[in-house]
This record gives sequence, structure tokens and C-alpha cells, in this order.
Amino acid sequence: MSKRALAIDLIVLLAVWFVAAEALDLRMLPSPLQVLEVFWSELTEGKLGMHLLISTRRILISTALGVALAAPLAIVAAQLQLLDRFLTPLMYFLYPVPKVVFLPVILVFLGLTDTSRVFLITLIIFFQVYVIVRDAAGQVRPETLDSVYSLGASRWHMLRYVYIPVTIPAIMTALKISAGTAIAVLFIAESFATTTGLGYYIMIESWGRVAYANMYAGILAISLLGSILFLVTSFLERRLGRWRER
Amino acid sequence: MATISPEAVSLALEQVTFGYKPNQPIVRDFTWRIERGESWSILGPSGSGKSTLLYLLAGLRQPEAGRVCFRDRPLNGPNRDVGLVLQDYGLLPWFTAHDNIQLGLKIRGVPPGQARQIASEWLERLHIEHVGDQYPSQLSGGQRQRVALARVLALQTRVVLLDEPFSSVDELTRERLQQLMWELKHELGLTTVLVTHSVEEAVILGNNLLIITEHAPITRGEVLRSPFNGERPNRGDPRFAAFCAEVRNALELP
Repeated sequence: MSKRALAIDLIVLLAVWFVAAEALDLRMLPSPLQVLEVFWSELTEGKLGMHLLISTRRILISTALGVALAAPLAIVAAQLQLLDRFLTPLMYFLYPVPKVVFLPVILVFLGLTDTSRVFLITLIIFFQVYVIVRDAAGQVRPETLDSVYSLGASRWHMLRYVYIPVTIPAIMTALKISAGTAIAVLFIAESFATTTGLGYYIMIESWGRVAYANMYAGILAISLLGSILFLVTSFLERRLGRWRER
Repeated sequence: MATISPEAVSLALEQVTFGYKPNQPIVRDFTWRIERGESWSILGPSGSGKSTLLYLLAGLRQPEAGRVCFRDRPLNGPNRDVGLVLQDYGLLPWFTAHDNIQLGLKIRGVPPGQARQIASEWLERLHIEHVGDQYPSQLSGGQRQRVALARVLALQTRVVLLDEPFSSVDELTRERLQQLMWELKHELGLTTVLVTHSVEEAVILGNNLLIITEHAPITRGEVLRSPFNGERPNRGDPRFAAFCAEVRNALELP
């Protein structure tokens, strides 16, 4: 992705928005300049910054939990046929199910709490990481394993020199793929029964109060959060998976 | 067995039976002794189980019956003095050439600085110092096999098992690697066992040839002794052509 192309895209997007806002002159479509102004003042003086931080925190905690649970399980499953045979059908049945449908179930069990929201996002990350890491760990060739064993490697050495290095770029791929979904579901989960987070800011504090410029500022904030997550994971995926390039 | 003292026996398969599936042995009741300093080449048809013999000698597979011995002790797993070089995929794709060579040293607890130093020396010795920072996918087939050799030799391994190590490289590189292997073998006094499809390679790198003509299970092999006892075989030497013909004959090749 070239920086120049990115700049041109942004300028075109803003220009179209600007022209549309000026031409239509609707209250529900403020101009980008007005939105940027509100975005900045809400971020520095208002509550947008706090909501952005809370959403980011929820995403990061869910990501850490999802990775911490899925990656070790996937690595173990790649080595233990019995566990793998039991888990694979379960994973392939549950993986394609949109996790957001479990929201009511989670709310019934965990209540209208932050734990529910974090649990839901963790679920999304968990399945994505499990499927991709299990695949990557299973693709290590038997010859490679034998050659490392022949050097006298223990199980710990296999983990350290084989499974962890092969897993890290796979985790980044999984996080990159799930960034968009995780943010979308967070938005839904934050749009009710809470007073914090970008979902709340956009739906309750802005849309609910007909504060359109604030609504766009919130959308801008959630877009930035998604883009940054996507860019960081893509960068790390490429950086840590350089060995995969030919 | 009685004529060989235990110290002289480097590696031995004693009435070994092995298979990957029950009742489908790949090796059956097979006995073979490799003495210290010997160099063996195993020739035989594809799928006959030649590589399996090597994996048994490496301690990576355990026999169902019989035993594998190293220095007269049963071999229950990989041994630090027995190294293995594979045709392909033996290197870790996520480590650079330099890190791949250090791998065995690190596994054995050599301090990082020393491991780096030893790896650098072997890179230089095998003339691949310029590719130390590259990943296996960026290396040529010949360079990859040099790295695989360096990784084993860096451990001061005295027995080197080679499973078709030069079969995925071009002819010229192949001859260079054979030459290099011959020199290393003599310089370091290695005991080597080579599995190959090439009659010429078998003759160049083996003083003893184990000829397998049956398909799995392997129960016996014919042993041929090279006329070049310790001297470097020369492709132009009439003895070379004559011995190759003898080997082809034993393999029942036209």
C-alpha cells in the first residue's frame, strides 16, 4: 500500500463528502470540516476520548484472552490426535456461526455487564485464532519435526523453536481478519445497557440526541480504531512472517 | 558378531523388525553392522524402506522387535553423536541459515555467543558465509544442503546419516557437494550412511554399498566393497566404471 495512494484516496473521499454536504445542505450530513472540528474538541475536551479508550481496552482484553486460550489449545491439538479428532468437528461446526447471535445467551448468563461484552468479542477472536493456528501448526512437515528431534530436541524445544515461531504470524493473520468483525460486534454490544464505549457514544449520546456532527465524530473514532488494529496486525504479520515470502 | 569387539561397532541393527502399520513390516528381522569410520551407501528401489533404515539408525523410530545399538548400547532415541541430513524440509523455514546452524547447539545448551561463533565458522568453512542472514526459502538447493550439513557438523557429530541429501539439486551442484562431503568425511573421520538413488553417488561416497533388491519388507541386502578403499574415487578411472557396472548388475538394472 503506497502512502501516496492512501493520501489521494483520503482527499477524494473528503472532497466527495464535502461537495455532497454543501450541495444537499442537510442537517444529517454535516460537512467533513465541521465533523473534524467536533471530533477534535470532543476528543480533547469532551468525552469521546474516554469512550475511545474504553472501547480500545475492551478490544485489547478480549484479544489477549482469545489468543491466550486459542493458541495453546490449537498447538496442543496439532500434536495430540485424540484431542484434535474431538475438537475439529466442534470447531468446524461453531466457527461459521456468527458469534453475535450468542449475545442474548451471554447476557442471560453473565448479565448486562462488561464481562458479557468482553466474553462475546473473546469468542470471535478465539475461533478465528484457533482455526488459523491449528492449520499453521498442522502444516509443519514431518521431515522438519524429525530433523529437529534428531538434534536432541525435547518437547519444550519443539514448542520454542517450532510451534511458537510458526504460530506468531498465524495469530497476526487471525487478528487482522477478525479486527473488522470484532469492532462491529463491539459496536452492537455497546449500543445498549451501558454508558461507556463508542457504541454508546454513537447510538445513545449522539444519534439518540440528534447530535449529527457528534455521531459522525464517533463513527470516525471507531473507524480509526478498526483501521489502526488492521494496520498494526498486517504490519506485524508481514514483519514476523518474512520467512514465508519467496 | 563374535568377531567384532563392542568398541569397534559404531551402529548396529540386530534382527530388527519395524513397520508403520501393524502387520505391515517395512523391515523384517534385519541385521546390519556399521563400524566406526566406515562409509556406507544404501541403494535400492523407491519405496523399499531404505529411508526407514536411516530413521531407525537415527533413533527416530523404535523397532517392534530386535534392537538398534550405538556403541553397543541400545538406542532409545536420538543420540547427540548421530546426525541426520534430509533431502528437503530439514531446515526450519522461519530461521535464517545462521540460526538454523545454531539450532542444535542451542538445544544442547551451548551459550548463545559461542553458538553464534561456531555457526559463523561453519558458514565460512562450507563457503556460504554470504547467505547467513537469509531464510531457507531464499537459498538455492545447494546452499540449503550446505546449511543442513553445517548444522550437523557444528555439533561435532561423528556419525552422519544422509537421506538422499543431494537429489534435489542440479548436476553440477551435486558433484560439488559430493566432493565436499568426501573431503569432510576424510578430514573429520566421519562414519557416514548415505541413502541415494544414484549409483555414481553411492560409489563416490561409500566404501561399502548395501544393495537392496526386494521391495518392503527388507529382510536382507547384498554388500559390495568398493575398490577405492579410502582413496578418492575418480569418475575417469576405469575401476570406477567397472565398479558402477557391478553395482548396477547387483541392482538388476539393465
